[in-house]
Amino acid sequence: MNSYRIIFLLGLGLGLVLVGCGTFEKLTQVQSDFPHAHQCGKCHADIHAEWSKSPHARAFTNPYFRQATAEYQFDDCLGCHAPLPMLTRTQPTLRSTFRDEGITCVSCHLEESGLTGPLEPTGKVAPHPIGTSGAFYLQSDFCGRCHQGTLNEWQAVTGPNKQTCQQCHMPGVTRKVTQANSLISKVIVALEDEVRQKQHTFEVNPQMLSEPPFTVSLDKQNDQLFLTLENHLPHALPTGDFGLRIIRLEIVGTNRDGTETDLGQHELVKENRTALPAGASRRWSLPYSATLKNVHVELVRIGFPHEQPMKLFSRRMAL
Amino acid sequence: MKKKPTDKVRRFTPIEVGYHACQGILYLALFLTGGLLMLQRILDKTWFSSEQLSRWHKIIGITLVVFLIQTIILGIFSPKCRVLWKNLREALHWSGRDIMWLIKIPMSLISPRVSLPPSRRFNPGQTIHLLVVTLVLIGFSISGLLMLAIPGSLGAWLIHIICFVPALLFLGLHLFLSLINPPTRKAIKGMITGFVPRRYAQEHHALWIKGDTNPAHAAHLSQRAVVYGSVIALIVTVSLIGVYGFAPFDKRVKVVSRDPVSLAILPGPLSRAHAEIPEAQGCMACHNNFSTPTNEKCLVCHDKITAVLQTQSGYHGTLTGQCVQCHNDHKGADSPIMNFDKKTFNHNLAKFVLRGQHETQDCEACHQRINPETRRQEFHFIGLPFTNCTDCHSDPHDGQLDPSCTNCHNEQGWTGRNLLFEHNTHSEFRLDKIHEHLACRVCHAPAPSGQATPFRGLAQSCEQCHQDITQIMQGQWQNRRYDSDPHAGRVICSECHNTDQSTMSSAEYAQKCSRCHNEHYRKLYFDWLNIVEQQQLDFQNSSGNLKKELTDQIKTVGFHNLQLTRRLGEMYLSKPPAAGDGKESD
Repeated sequence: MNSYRIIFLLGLGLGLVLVGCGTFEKLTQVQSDFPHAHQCGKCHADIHAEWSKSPHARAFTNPYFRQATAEYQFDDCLGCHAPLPMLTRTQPTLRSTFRDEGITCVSCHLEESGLTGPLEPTGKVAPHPIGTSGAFYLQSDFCGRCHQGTLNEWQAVTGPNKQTCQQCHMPGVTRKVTQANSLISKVIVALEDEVRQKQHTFEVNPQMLSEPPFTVSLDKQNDQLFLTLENHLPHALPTGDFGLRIIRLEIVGTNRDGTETDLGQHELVKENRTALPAGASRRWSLPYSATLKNVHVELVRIGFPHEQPMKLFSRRMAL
Repeated sequence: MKKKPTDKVRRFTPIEVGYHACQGILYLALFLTGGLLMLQRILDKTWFSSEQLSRWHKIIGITLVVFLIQTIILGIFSPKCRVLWKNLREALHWSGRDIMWLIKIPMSLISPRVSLPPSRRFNPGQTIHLLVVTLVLIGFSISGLLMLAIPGSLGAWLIHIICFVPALLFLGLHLFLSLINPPTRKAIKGMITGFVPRRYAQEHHALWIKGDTNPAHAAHLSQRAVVYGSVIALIVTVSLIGVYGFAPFDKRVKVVSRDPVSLAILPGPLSRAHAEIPEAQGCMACHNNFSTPTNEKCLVCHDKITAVLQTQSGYHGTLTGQCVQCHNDHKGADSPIMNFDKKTFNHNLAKFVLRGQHETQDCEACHQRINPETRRQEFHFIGLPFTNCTDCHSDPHDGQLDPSCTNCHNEQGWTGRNLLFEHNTHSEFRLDKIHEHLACRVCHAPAPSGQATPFRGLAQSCEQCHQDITQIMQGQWQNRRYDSDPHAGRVICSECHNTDQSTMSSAEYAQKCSRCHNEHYRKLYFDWLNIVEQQQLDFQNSSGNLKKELTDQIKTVGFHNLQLTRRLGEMYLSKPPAAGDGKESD
């Protein structure tokens, strides 16, 4: 790279920094208002897109939450569903503005030192102050400030390959932190390095796991049929402290003549003390008949009425 | 002055005068009382109390009998009184002349010229009167004493009545001759003073006092007096019939009998029960001639009594003696033949001994029924079934419970401390603190008429009774379907409700939340409580048909289906519904 080019770029960079400071200044003004997600998303387009589809984005507006809090009348619930920036790193407290964004960007990433994250700055220019706190953001404790019960479960688990929350629910991806949306930004983004980072999908049912989260098996003993569900997760199945989370096992047998036989349903409910703890397994006796050919097991996560059931697992097992 | 004694002769000794007066007064008094008794019975009237008349008749009758016996004794031992016996002896001596006198006396009434044979101190008419009265007195005395000694003795009654007929005739004749008939009434003085004019004696009793007058021409009867007397008697009889008619007789004929003798002497109307039964009619159905109506006569019909007497059971089975000691008839159609005093009757001699509440009941409570034959309400004593409580009491449990009532009830009372039934011990459903204060009818609801109040097969689980809450939890409300509560089907009632305490504070309920949920829910409970209470207020302050219903239900609904409460608010308090709510469907 010759010196001319370097000088040009420095000059351009300086110009952009100056422009940038003018443009993004308000992102750091925490006293009166906070940066909204769509503002962050102008540059962090991929992350914003992931977040937008994530449960965190709907944390406040989703109708089930609204129902469950009787139109946001239960103050105790609201803190986690629309938290202020976690400046104090204590119990999340409710913010007074743009609650509709739920757990928005600033809820996690705005600190006194600036917009903070686990990564060192990757760009050549920084349009806003950047703080780095790698260890803190990658620990389960970070999530546990809201997800306390699950954190407790996780903490109780010991084992060599125990994954953190982020490892499963925020799958890794290698890409640039920002995405260009204009001519100038294309230039800036072009100067950025790709980096291994976390997707902000916050998936309830992560698909890209190194190990299966639970296994289902059948065993037959003296004309008795048993179904065993083994929970390999580092938390209970289901987990969560509030709302309605029920895992339902739906077991249907197929007979040799092609007809189906309902072999029962079993609910796992934390409040009923039927949730399956981390690492635990449970065995159910199934009604057995000699004509049974195979057994189809489905794990469905159900919530409030009208909430779409989520199919977690489906497997057909031959006898 | 010296001549005067010779003008009169002593016809009666003072003993005779005294005897006649005493007997006459008593005799008349007996006629008066007895006659009135008879007349009242015949006419079915009560001018005087029959009991009083009867009592006086008995007193006077006994007095007369005593007087007669005294006279007989005196007549034997006292020379002065022997004249009475002498008179009687003379009265038994009859000659042809006396017969002729009797034949001629009616003729003399038609033609005064007929001369009568001379008479002794007593002429044949007086002699007959004396004999008849003597006989009648004997008859009256014996039959009267028999009637006293043997109540209900028909023969004695009959003799008494039979005696009355000649006695009445001769009394009438006697009074007519001595008081009215001019030729003979002159002699009345003699009956008072003992002396008669010599001339009268010579004329009427020539064989006793002989004189120069011609007794053959002495008149004995006055035509005019006899005619007038007869006319007056006829008028009296016709008047009585005119006033009272034959109705009393007719009535008695209908009521009593076809037996004319019974009718004639019937002492009083029979009770209805006896009067309506042919077997009981006719005197001999009950009476004997010379004995009290015996038990055998009664028991011919009263076979239930026969039965208890044979087994010596029941009230009558333990009694001895005669039926008539307690039971009398002839006291009117409506007279209670039972003749017992409710207050003094000893029911404990009956098979069913009265204890507890039974002691204080009116007799009618048990001893009354509709006669299956007559359809009339009547007392019912003999053969009243009492082995089972249900013989008298209807079973309020309609056969659902133990047929032995005494397992739970006793005679001291049905309910309260007398009720031996202990719900927690004797029933399958333990009454916990919540249920123990409920009125019985809350669960054992009085059924619509014709159906039994349920005691068996009642629900045991919470849901079976508290269906409304179950439905609310399942989202059923007012025949519409809403979202079910997450607790429905996953939580049993006792997870939230303590049945071992009557009420629960909200703090206790909040505590219950945290048994399953995390500690935050303890506060959430109070948040929810506020909402429900506010909604209750809102409904109270609102108007509309559902106001009352909703106000009452909102708390129940509110805590058993949280989302339904919200919906109710939206529907009825004009709040915009939130997204994601349940769809209504009828």
